[in-house]
Amino acid sequence: MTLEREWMRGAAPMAVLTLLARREMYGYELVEALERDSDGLLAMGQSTVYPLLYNLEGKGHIESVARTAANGRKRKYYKATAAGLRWLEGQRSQWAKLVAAMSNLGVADDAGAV
Amino acid sequence: MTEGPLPPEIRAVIDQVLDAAGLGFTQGRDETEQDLIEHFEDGLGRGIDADTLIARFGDPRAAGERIARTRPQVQARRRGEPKGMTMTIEVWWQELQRAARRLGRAPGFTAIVVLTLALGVGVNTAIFTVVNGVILQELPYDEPDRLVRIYERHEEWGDLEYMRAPLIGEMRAWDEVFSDVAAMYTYREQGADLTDGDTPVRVNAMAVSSGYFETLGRSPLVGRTFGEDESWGAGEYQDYPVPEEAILSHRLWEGHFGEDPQIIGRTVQLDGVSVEIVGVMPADFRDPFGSQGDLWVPQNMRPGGGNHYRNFYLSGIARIRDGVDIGTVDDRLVVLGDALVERIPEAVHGTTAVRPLQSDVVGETRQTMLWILAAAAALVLLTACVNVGNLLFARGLGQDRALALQAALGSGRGRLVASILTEHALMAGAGGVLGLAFGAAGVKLLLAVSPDALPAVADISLGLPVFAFAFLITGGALLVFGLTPALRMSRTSPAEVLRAGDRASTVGRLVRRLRDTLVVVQVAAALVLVVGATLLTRSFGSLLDVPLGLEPEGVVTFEVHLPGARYPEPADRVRFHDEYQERLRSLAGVEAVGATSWLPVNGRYHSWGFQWSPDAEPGDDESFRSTDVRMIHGDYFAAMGIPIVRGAPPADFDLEAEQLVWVNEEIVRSTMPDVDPLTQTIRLAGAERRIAGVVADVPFSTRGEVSPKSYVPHRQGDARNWALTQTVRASGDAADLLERARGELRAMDPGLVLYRPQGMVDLLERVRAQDRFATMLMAAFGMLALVLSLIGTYGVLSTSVASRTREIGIRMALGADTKTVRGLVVRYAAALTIPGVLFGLVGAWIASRWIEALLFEVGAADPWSYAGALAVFFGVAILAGWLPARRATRVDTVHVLTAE
Repeated sequence: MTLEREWMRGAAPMAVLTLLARREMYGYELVEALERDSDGLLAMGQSTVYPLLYNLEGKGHIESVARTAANGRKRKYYKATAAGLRWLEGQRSQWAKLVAAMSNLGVADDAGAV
Repeated sequence: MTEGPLPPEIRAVIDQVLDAAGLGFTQGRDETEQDLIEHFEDGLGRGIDADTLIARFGDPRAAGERIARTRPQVQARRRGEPKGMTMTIEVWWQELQRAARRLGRAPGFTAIVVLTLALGVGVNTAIFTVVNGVILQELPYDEPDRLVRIYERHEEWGDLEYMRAPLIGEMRAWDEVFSDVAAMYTYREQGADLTDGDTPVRVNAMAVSSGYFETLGRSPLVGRTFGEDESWGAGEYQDYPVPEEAILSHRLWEGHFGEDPQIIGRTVQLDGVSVEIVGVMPADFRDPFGSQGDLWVPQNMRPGGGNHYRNFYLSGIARIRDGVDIGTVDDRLVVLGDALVERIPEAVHGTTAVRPLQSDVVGETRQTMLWILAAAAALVLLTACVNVGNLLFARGLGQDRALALQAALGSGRGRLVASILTEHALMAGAGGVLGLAFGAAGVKLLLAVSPDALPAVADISLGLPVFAFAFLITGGALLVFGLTPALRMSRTSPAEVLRAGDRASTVGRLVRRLRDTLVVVQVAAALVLVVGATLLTRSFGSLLDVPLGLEPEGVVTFEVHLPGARYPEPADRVRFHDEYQERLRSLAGVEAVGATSWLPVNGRYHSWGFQWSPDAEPGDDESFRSTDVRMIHGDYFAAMGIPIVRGAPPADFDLEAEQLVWVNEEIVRSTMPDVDPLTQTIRLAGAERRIAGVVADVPFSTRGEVSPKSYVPHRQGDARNWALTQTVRASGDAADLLERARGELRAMDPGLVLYRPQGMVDLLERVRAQDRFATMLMAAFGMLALVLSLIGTYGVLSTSVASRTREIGIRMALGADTKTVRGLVVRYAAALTIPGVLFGLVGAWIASRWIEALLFEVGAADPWSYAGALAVFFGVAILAGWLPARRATRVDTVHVLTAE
């Protein structure tokens, strides 16, 4: 199953930042992680990840650093900034409230019933 | 380090992304490329094949477009630029480039918007430049608002009249009202032969009294102006038969004397008489009325000769004394005039009146005409703005999705607005530049088309303030109309727009109503213009139908001026004209030759008094009447094609034996309706004259206005040196005839100049210039507005059909036939046009009261003009509705319903 565009639009930045808050990653690594850790739900077209990264970097939520990897190649790594973490915190609490509210409404139960 | 080159198909994907992103090198192009290379290398490094990688990557173009919007933010952030509304020059520059690209992708739309703007700006720049030059700009004199023209007015005679020399002399003492008073002999341009070497040149010599330049507040560039003695000095008029001094215009000084600094004191020959050059006026000096003088000579104001209380021939000009309210001047002049008549009874006439020089120079009709044209131009601007607004709305609707996408990807509201602003600023800029070019060309065109419709004194040059004004209005409209979609967008949630898909986008009901209103406004404004244009065209048509009482076709006219030095006696001049006309008559193709002191349909001239009563008591004031006098020589009536109603032509009489006069029908009608005119004698031009014939009325204006007119044989006229205009009726080529006439003149006297040759038809065209000018412009404006409203109506209808494709498809699927569907569109067209037409009719009716001043023999409520305009608009509605209606009926039902 895949998400509708609107859900994706809201969820993707939060997902990316959550991953980058754990540890820094390079582009392809992030693409793989999104796919794997979300059971494929957040597997967006890979090309979408780069504009998203640029957008987050432009907003100052993440920053990029060049590092040399173990195999000697230079790679660009992304990590969350302090501002990004603050933003993520805000998103998370909204998310939690939304989930709680939705559960109280019985959204998940109804979905199962259909 | 990379691990060898990427497979070409991957390289192609990267190139596509970069291409679509269109980043500049400062916008992180290289870094983005590196990111993409790393991405694919990492993928390949994990053993995934190129095809799978490309498939997972997704649409490269879409990726590129998103990167275009996001990547520069990173760059901006790294440069330490804050995000949001703060736009750096570089960001603007980016936006500009992007806007240019977007506009380039919609060339038709861009061209129409830019062209519409340019037309609106151009038309207004041109018209308001003329209005500014003619009406709003002050005359080029010192304190021009204190300058007035003085007229005499007689209750019974009606019109404002020229002045009598002795009265002007008296007025110089009325210093409680005037600080300066001067006179000009503008009755007729005084052609004169200027000789300074071998060949004479024909110049326009303007006779002005001393104090003329001082009244206008202008000083000479070098030398001096005329002294008191030179006009008013001791002695009689007869003691100074010819001028002795002259002041040169800058034009003549530059063109003929090479700006000779030693010019003052030099003697030249003017009509064979020596005059001394005493001064040169500056280049920007203009005579307020009459044609512009090449040089000025002192007007002889001394008593005697023509300077008496019965001769009205001077133009009076005065400067109101400081502190005197110009509105009270006329009343004071009545008191002063009464006191004068008390002292000098023969000064009695009517009253004197002043008129501000500015409005006198511009003329009331002309002023009205220019304001009407200006209003019409403003209406064109309005329709242009409305049209642009409408086009932008239409585009804005289509752009909603693109904007939503941009907003969803994180562009702030500021950036969205900026992006639209730049696009519009770009169009406004292009429209403005093109409009300026149109305006410059328009001014040139206006001046070229109708030099005679505008006063010579006006300094008309492209008005930058005017251009700026028109540009601001149009550009402002562009921004306001254009901004609305952006602001609306930034208030609506992007998701909502995107979810709506292709259906109707977010055609808010409000927006649609706004667009409809714009079309209604546009149709109304265009209708006003079209009605105005129709009225003027019909009026001009009736102007052309005015019976002129003559046959202008095939008549060639030109002046020959005989210098007093070589032709001192009246008999010499009569002999010359006799012989010259004889020579002209002998030329091949010539049918009749005559001459007159003033051409017909060319304004009033030489209004003299004559006395008539059945008993013809000389000196009896009661029998005093006014008439325009024409000196004629040869077979003038035949040459001009003026029918002789009673009596016989001059050729049938022995003009040496008896003093005769020919009068027009108006004299008979107004003065002697109950008697046989051929038995009557009138006292005119210093003699008792028997009426030898009655000729048809020839109007003095193109509007058919007729004045009492008398024709006196030149050989029986007074001693003055009449500058006669030859009138030759001939078949064949006019230019060839003129060449042969010039040859005959040279053979008789090589020192003479064939001056101002023109066909009678050309003259009529020239005197109709103002009416033609107004009609042409109005017609052009009407057409322009019509086309704009056609585009506007069509635009609204076709977007409406496009956005309702789905609805139409469903209706058709449910069984609606093409007629019903077409009716849907046509009803919409009618709903737009009918209110527009109704408002337009009301507007036209109001505006026509104003335009009435320009109309001739056509009422402001002329039903034909309104009916014609209405027919045109129904045509427009049908035309605008036709294509969209047809497109609506061709909607593919299956396609529409299965889409999405």
